[in-house]
Amino acid sequence: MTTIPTGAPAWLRTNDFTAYGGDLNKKNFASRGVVNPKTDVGAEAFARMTADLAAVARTAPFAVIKLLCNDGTPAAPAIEYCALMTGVRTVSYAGDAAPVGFPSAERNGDGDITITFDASYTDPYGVIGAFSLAHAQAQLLGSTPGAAIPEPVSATQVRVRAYTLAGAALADVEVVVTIGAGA
Amino acid sequence: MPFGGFCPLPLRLGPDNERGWSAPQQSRAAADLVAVSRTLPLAQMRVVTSTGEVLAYSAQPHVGPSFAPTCVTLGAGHFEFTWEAAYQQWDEAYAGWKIHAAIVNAVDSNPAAIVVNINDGLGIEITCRHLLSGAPIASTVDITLWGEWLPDRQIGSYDGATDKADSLTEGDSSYCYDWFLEMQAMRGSVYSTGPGNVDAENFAMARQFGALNRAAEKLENNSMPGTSDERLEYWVQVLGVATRASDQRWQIRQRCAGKMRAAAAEASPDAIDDAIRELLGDSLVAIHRTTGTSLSSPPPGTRWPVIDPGIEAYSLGGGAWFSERSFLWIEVVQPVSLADSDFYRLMNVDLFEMLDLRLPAHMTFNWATSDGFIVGVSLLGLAAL
Repeated sequence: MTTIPTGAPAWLRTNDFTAYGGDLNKKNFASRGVVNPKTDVGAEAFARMTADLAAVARTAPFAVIKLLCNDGTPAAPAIEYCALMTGVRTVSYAGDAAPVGFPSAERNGDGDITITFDASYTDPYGVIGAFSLAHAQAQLLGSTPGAAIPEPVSATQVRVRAYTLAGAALADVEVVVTIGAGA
Repeated sequence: MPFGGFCPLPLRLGPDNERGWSAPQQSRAAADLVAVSRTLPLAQMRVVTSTGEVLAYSAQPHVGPSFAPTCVTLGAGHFEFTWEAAYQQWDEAYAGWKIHAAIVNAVDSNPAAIVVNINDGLGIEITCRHLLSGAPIASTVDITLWGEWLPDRQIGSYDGATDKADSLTEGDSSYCYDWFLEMQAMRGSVYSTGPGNVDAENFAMARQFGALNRAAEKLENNSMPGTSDERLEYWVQVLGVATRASDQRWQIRQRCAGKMRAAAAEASPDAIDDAIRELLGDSLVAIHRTTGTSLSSPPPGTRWPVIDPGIEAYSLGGGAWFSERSFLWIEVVQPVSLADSDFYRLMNVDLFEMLDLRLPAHMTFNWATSDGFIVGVSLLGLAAL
């Protein structure tokens, strides 16, 4: 028998403390407190833990990605690091050959790429949660002054452009992108 | 009923929202802890680049500016930090530190453009320039880093498992509380039931007897692989189940239970199907068998020597025959949380070993993912060839 967890996967950001077992009236069984506070966990501390877990789950990014634009010899960007709530990949892969469950990326032009996520992801218990891109941040890596600007273009896609300070496209750059999802 | 003096640790899952922690709630907590642990920052720090002073520093191993690496100025608006190769975890073991990604932004009134470079996963080099002129500029910056320090968590790290369930024995009450009521009843109304010596004696005895109940239940659970904890290694040995260091205990437990179930019963289709379900868990989509076809009218894929030999190139010779009724194929999906190596090991080693052992000699088997196609699994595959 497979367990069906309460609430929804973390990237929907809809879970409150009750999904994790918290309750406004949480109390020790038969109102008998812990026997040894050094070894036992009381209902009060547990309630605090569930509330804090709900808090961090609401603001944790869904994805942190580092990618390298391939503009000298035009090709899909290489995704060098990809931490998703559903799995971490530290081995680089080509954006147009993404492993199952990891985002793909395509090249639009010099320093201009689009990252595409799946419409939904599955948690370790097999619960499917829709993915909806809600927040994006981008950071230019390297030594050339400039900026990386993310532009969410749909619920599953974000376009990132890298510019020099003069506003020209910046080729062959490394960029970090963080993505926050929402319900 | 996990909380309070009547319910000593370890926590036992139960459905009461006010006094307990249910299996679905624990499962959600475990899954979300795994999720956030993968994407939360490794460290955050605020630095005044003109002086190199670290105003604030929070990292997964420690908090406080005194733990921050020293700022080394490389030039105007250009500085770097380098971290140690490893830091101690809570259990005092050292874990490697590697930075994979960084975001830096100015947090003052300067119009600064900031770029960051990651050096060998241990250091970051930051350059601050004026947004318009491109000249070096000093600024106060916030730095956020992501990367590796703690091992990648799995639900098993938090005692999660895909078959977690509420306790049938202590989910609603506890052994200890049941004994406490028993003690009060046995001593009768002549003794006080309020706080005091008698209450303390009753409570102490209830805890003792409750522990005995738990020990008995633990013994019972350890006697079967599907519920075994302390004796899991024994079952691994007895059943000859292969394990790896990266396996979570619930995976080993399910593997042992699957093998036990397959071995305990006749190799009937139902027993084998149950064992497959137990082994594959949420990777399993469906088990496909061709049954119910009249023997006098065999299914299309059936090949008989002389009568219906099929394509010559497929003949095994020696009077061998082939029928879909002797072919088992299993449709699966690879959970995103399962690495390729773990998934292929599950399918090509664990499943193969079990089916090779349990299926009748006349049967063959194969597996396919539900979103793909593997040649040879179906007649379509054979025909396509």
